[in-house]
Amino acid sequence: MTQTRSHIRDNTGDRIFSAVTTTITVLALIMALYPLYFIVIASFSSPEAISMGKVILLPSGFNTAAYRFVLTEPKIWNGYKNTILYTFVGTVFGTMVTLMAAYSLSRKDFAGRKVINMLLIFTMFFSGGLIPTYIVVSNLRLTNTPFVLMILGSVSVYNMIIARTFFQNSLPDELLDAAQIDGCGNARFFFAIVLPLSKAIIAVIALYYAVAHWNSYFNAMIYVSDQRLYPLQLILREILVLGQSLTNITDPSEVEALVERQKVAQIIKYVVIIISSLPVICVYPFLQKYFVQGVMIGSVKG
Amino acid sequence: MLYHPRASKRATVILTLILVIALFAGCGGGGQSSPSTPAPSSTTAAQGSSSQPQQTPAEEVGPVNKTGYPIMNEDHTFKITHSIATTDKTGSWQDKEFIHNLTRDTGLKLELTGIPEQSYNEQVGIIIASNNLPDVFIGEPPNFSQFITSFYEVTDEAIAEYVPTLAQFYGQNADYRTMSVFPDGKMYGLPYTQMDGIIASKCLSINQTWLDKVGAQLPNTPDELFDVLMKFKTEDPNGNGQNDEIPYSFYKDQNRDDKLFGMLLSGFGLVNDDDANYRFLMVENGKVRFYPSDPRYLEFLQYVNKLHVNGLLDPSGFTQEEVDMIAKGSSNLVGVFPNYSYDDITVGEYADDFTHLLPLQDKDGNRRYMQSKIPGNLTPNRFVITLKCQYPEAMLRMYEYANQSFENRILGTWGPEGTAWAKLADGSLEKLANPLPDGYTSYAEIRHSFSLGVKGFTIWMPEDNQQFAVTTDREKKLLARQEPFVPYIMNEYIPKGQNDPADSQEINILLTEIKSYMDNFMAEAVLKGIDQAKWDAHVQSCERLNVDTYVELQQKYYDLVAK
Repeated sequence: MTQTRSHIRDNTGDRIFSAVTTTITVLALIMALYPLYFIVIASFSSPEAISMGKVILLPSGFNTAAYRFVLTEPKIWNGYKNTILYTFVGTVFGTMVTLMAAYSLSRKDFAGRKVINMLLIFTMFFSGGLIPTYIVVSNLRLTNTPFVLMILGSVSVYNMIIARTFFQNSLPDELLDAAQIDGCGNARFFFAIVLPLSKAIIAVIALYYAVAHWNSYFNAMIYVSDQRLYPLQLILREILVLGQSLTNITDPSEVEALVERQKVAQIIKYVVIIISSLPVICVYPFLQKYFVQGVMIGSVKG
Repeated sequence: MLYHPRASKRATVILTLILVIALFAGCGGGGQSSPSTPAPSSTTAAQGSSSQPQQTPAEEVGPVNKTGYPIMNEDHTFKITHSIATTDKTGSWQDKEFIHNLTRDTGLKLELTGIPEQSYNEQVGIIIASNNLPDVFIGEPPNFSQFITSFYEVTDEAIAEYVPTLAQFYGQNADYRTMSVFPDGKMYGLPYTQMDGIIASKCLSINQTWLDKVGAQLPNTPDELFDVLMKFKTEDPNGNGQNDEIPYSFYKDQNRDDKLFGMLLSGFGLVNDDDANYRFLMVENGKVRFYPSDPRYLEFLQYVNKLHVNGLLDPSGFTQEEVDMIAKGSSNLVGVFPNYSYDDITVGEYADDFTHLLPLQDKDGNRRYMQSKIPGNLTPNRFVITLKCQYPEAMLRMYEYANQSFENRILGTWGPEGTAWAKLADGSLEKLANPLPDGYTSYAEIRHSFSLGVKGFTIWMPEDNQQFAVTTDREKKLLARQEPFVPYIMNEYIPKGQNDPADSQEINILLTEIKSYMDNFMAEAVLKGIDQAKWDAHVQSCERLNVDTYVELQQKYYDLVAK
C-alpha cells in the first residue's frame, strides 16, 4: 500500500475502497497460505488428531514420528538420490539439446528451417502417443534403465520455441557478421558468444526441465520395473496410493498389512509433501528474476 | 511436486482405458483394410488353437522332456513377467529360495521381470498393447478376457498330462475349474489358491461390554438395533462422562457397500453381493435382481436415514478412510462397525469387548448372509502363457513343479521353515506372526520377503492349510465366528467365473455410471432423507442408466454359469 500513497489525501470513498481491497487481498492470502501452513503443522501432529479434526491452528498431539520414519526409510533416500541424478543429468542434457536446436532454427541462413519448424510444431498437436513411444524405447533397449528417465522428453517444443524467439530477438545478425569476419565458426560463436549472452533464457529453460524431471513419475511407472531405479515421486506414490484391489482380500494378514500401510501413509502423508517440494521451493526464489525476465523476452512475437 | 494420489490414480485408469480403446481401433482398422498386416497376435492365435504345433515335436526326442529333469533339452531362456507384493522388502523374486530351488531342480533358465503391484496393470497393459509379450505372465493381465487370443489355451488334456496336481485339484472341486472356463468353453490360465476355509470373513461387530452396561441384549431386528444404538448414544457406555460415543461407525469404499451399511440389508429381506463385478445385485428364485430399485430398499434407506437423524451414525463416515475409523475404534468410541478381519485391527486393545452381530432378521424372521463364495482365495488366471512362448509344456511343467509336493507348495507361498512358519512339537505348523521379528511391521512382510506369497502360483489346498495350528486368540475368534453364520448363507448367488468379453465390457461401462450415481444417491438419501417423490425419481433414474440391460447381461451370465 505504501507505494500508492501520495500527497493527495484520500477521501472517504478511497479509504473504503482500499479497506475493502486490503481485506479481500488478505483473505485471499490466507486462503492460499493456510493449506501450506496446515501441511506444516499436520506433519508434526498425530494422525488420530488430524482425522478427528483437532489440527486447525497449532499441531495437536505433537510428535516427530513421521519425520523419523521418513528419514530412516532407505527407499525414500534412494529415491531422493535417483531423482537428483535424473533431474541433474536430464536438465543438463535437455537444456543443451533444446538450446542447440533453438539456435539453429533461429538462424535465417539455415536451409529448410521452415519445414523443420513445421514438423516440430506438428508434434505439439499430434504426438505418437504412449504405445508407439513405448515400442521405440523398448526397441532401443532403454526400458528398465536410468537413461530412459533422463533422455525421454529432452526436447520440449514449447521450450524450444521460447528459446528460438529469444535468440531471434536479442542477437542481432551483425553480431554474427562481426564474429565471422574475425574468423569465428558456428560452433565457437554458439558456445563463446550466444550462450554467455543468453543466461536468462538458459535459466528459464533449465528450470522448466528441472521441475518437470523432479515431478515426473509417470515415465518411471511405465518404463522402469526395478524398484532401485525409482525416483522419489514414484516411491511416494507407492506409499500413498494403496492398492485398492478389486478382488476380495480374504487372508486376514493381508488385510492387516494393508491397514498397516494405510497407517504409515496417514502418518507420512504431510511429511513427504514437505520433503519432496522443499528443494524446489528453496531454488525457486533465486531463479525467479531470470524466470520472469526470460519468459517475457522469449514470448514477444512468439 | 504435489500430485493428488486419487487424481493420478483416476488419470491412469482413464489413460489405460484410452489405450485399450486405441488398441482395438488399431486392430480393427488394420484387419479390415489390409489383411496382410493384422496384429501379429491374432495370426498366431489361429495357429495355436487349431493344431498346437508345439506339442508334436515332444513325441520324438524334442526340446521338452515330458517327465524327469531337466525339463528342457536345449538352451532356452524363458521370460517371465510377474507382480511383486508391496510388502516384499527384497523387491524381487531373484533371491527367493523357492526360485533358487526351482531353477536348480528343473534346469529351467528364467529371466524374471518383477513389476511392483501398484504399477502392474499399467505396465502390463502397455506390454500387451505393444505386443512385447514375455513367455508367461504370473499375475492376471488387466482386461484379460479382451486379450485371450494372445494366450495359450490350456486344455484338460494338457493339464492331465503335465499338471496332474491341478487335474486332481479340479477333479475334487469341479466348481474351481468352472471359474477358469470362458464362455467359449476354453481355459487360458492356471490358478493361484489359498484355501483357508473361511467363508464368513465379514460381519458387523458389536461392543458386548457396552451392551452389558446399558443392559441390552444382542439385537435381532432393525428396530432392536435402533434401540441399542440409541442407548449407546445416550447412556455413556464408555464411562468417560462425555457424550462422545459413535454408535455405528463406517468408512467410504468405492467398491464395497458392506463397508457402509450393506450388512444391514438383511433386516429388510435383501442381501448385497460383495463382489465388485456384481454390484447391487442379488439372486431371488433364479432371477438376478437390482435391489436398489426394489421397494424394500426404500424401507432400508428410510431406516438408515432415521439412524442418521438421531445422530447414531459416524458423522464423517462418508468421507473417512479405514484408518480414521481405526483411530476412533482404538479410543473406545465405537459401538458397531463393519469388520472384515480380526477385531483388533480396528479396535486394538478393546478387541475382547467385541462380538459378532448376526445378520438382522427381516419381517418374516429370515436372516441373510452373503458368504465368501469360495472358502479362501482363488485367482483363476494367475499363471498365463502367451503365444510367444515356444514351449508351453515346459511352463506347464514348471507350474507342476511348484505344486507337486507339500514342501514345494509351502516354500513357494509361505517361505522356508524358520522364516514365516515353524514346526511345532506335535508336527503341526505355526505361523511366526507373534512377535514379529525386528524390522517387520506386519506378517505379510515376512511372508513376502521370503516367498512369492499371494503373488505366486501355488495351489494351497484346504488340507495344506489344516497343517497350520491355530495359536493366536485373534485367529481363534475369527474361526469361531464361522459356524454361527452358516445357517444364513445364501444358496442363490452369482458364482465367480469368466464372462463373455463383449458382455463384460458392456457391464463395465454400464456399471461405471450406475456406481457413481448410486454413491451420490445413497449418501443423499441417508443424509437428507427420502420420500415417495424422491424414490420415484430414483426409479426413473435407474431406468435411464440402463439398469435393465445391466440386469439382463448379468442374468445371461448367471444362467450360463449357475447351471
